[in-house]
Amino acid sequence: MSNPLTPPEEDEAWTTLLRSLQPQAPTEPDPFFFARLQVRLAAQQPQPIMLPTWLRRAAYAFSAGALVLALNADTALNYMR
Amino acid sequence: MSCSPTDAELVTQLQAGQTTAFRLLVERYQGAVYRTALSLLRSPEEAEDVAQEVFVEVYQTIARFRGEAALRTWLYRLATSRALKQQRKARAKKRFAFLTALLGTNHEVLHERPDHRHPLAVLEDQQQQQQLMEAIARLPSSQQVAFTLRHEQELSYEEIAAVLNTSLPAVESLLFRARQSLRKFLQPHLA
Repeated sequence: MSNPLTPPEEDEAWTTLLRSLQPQAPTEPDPFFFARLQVRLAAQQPQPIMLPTWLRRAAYAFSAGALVLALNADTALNYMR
Repeated sequence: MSCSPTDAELVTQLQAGQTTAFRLLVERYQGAVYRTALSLLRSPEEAEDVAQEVFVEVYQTIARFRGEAALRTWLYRLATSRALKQQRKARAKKRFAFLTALLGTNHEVLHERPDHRHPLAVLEDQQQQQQLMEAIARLPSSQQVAFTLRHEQELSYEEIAAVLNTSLPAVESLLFRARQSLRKFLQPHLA
């Protein structure tokens, strides 16, 4: 392409210089890059919000709810007296 | 004979949730993304980290990719912005490490890959390379990105303009100023 600021030969000279100075630079990541990427992706998956085990059992959850309601009712009755 | 899908087809397949498309995309671009990060960071470990971050972001946000830019341009854009961010972090860490070294608590061991060339040639090359890399690292971020994309990744001026989301004359100007600064910096060292 036409480049008014820099002549093409100078443009090419810089590329050649950088290429010659880094003959050993790795051109690809280490092997098994995709496997490492998959591990990272799995680690970054959002975890579902976990309830405590006891709350996940229906009986316990129902009892806890009933207890809260009973305490609220008791407080309301005491307040009314 | 199987025909390799185009970038646009890959994006469509990825958006449809095909995991094989993601693998193909990574295999196609891992080298370019890694080399871009490496040319800005000069550390294979950090470059790998950035390359992984780029593909994680692609995986997580591909549904929102509308194709305003080419996939390749988008990947270069992600790689350069992530690498610059990592560069800022590394500089802050380096400043901290310098302070730690002053206090005498740094026991870092450096491992280098073996080199079988003539020691004098290695020394000259290393000195020259070191000087040039230091000079490139001192360039303002936009000049540094334009310079490395042009002369290390060998992207065209048009591609660099797309990556930096700027005009062609702006890229020419960035490269012109970068080369001028480098020439000024290198002259006393290489004389």
